[in-house]
Amino acid sequence: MEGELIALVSVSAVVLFALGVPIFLIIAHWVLWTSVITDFTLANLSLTLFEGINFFGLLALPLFILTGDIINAAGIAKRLTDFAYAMLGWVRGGLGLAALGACGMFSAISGSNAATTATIGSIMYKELQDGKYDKRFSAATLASGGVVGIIIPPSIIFVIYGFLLNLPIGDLFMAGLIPGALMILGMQAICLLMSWKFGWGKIIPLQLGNCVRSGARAYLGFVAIGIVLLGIYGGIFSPTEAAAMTVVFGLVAGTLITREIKLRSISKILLHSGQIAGLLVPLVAVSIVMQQILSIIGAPAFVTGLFEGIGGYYATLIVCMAMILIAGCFLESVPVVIILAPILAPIAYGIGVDPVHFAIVFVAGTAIGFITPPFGLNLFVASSITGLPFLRIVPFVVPYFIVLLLTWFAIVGIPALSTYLPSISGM
Amino acid sequence: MKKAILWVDDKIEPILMNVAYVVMAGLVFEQVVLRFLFKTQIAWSSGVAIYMFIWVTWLGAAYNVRKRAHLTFGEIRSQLPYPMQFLCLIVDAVLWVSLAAVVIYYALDQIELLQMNFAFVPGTSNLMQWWFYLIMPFGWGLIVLRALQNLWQDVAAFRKREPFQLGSSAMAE
Repeated sequence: MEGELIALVSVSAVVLFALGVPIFLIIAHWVLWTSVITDFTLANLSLTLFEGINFFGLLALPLFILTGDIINAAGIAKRLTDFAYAMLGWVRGGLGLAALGACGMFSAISGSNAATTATIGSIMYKELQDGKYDKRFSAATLASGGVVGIIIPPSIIFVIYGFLLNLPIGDLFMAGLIPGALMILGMQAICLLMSWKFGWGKIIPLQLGNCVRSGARAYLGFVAIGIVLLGIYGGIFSPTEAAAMTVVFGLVAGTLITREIKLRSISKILLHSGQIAGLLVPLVAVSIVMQQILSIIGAPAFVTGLFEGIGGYYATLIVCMAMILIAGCFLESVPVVIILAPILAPIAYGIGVDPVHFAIVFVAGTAIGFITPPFGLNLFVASSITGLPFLRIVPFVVPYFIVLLLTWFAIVGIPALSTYLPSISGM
Repeated sequence: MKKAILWVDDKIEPILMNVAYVVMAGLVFEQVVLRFLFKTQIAWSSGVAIYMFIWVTWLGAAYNVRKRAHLTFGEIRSQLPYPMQFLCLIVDAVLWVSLAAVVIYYALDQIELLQMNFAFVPGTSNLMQWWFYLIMPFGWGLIVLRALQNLWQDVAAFRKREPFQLGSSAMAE
């Protein structure tokens, strides 16, 4: 009886999802009704929405969100894209390559996929139009470029993953660096091929002076990247502290050096960051309760049982990857991590996968989910920047999706891509 | 008076979120500075910073209800016939209010418990934990208020047969 009722609640949850009820609300009600059915105290739900996020490491999340907003408002993101264009404009498709490169650089300051697409997208889309790129291809490029936001450190998803599975967040950050860079290079190769084939873009001559000048103008961005990467890599700051440092640095740079942040606009920036935190953190909190309920009704044991029949290192990993990818098509990355990671990670450890390596495999998979329909957040963001309907962008995302999948296989097959940097860092 | 209420209605989440965000970031920054320059630290600063983070979270959640900005899969709803859309909006409101009722009820229990136990924030002897816990009834109370205000708008729109505001993700701004 209990089983049937839980199944009924779960089916209702899927229907509500399809009808556009907020995802947070669906998970919370699923927890609520499953608690009632299994006679589990409802006080736990209320308490965990407070105590579940009562953890210092999670502060990196709102602080890195704020960093991204401040770096954008300070005009530093724009300077980074100018630099990328100066360096790459001489190549066919250079503007597209620069957009992807700028996504990579911005990802090294900001920790979110959607924010990366939103920031670089709103700077670059108009220029891509002026450069005669296909509209749908431009939107697809910007949506896909943002995928590395949570792979290249800092990353709010690594913060959540480390928090849940008790892994050092700094290690995860370092481990994401090479895989993220590979993803960018792979997507640039696709962009190059497509632009070549269709003759998109106008070519600007390579001018050394221009490169140096725009590079110098972007120095504030490099300092911010330095604070994050060297600060954490060298063991000087914890990720949370590095986030607070970049917030203060960005604020000082934006108000005193670039002077693009006016004192009056600071409250607007804070409000925007707070709104994003108010989207993501409630999902973290409620997903924690959901994970508790799942283990009460025996879901992890059930999944582990399913895996027992598979056996074999690669077979198990491939099933894990398929589950991550499918979940990523339907859900936001935060619930995917919180629900699936605690179930799949022990299985992966059991067959001898390194915890940090598996973290990268997992998060890279959810990152690819940002450009897969029906729920691909970066596609929504790109659609709202460009005004193109979401479904018209999808076909142009396919080449990027394929190259990201290939990179993902490489990340899975070559553990050293993930584990080398953490093994030599100073933490 | 009416003007004052409207002002509070408009500004309450933004102002409180701003304050909590600044205090949170300021406390973490202060920790780094104190550690590097003076090799010392303030015992309560990380505790209070975390509480401010939780404040930002639930105030932000209420603000997103008000802006209809919580993450959703909106593709199907926007294609539904008008009366079905209205029904979905009513379902949203019912789900928000019923969830909030459960959360607030048990949060009040917890606050009473913390109060009776004189639970202090670690590292202090005068900062009570329950003061910070008040965000649960307060933030979720705001969520109820915002959900009902939205429903009010929707009913008004339905009467005039005007298109509904189905909302968009805040990420997209």
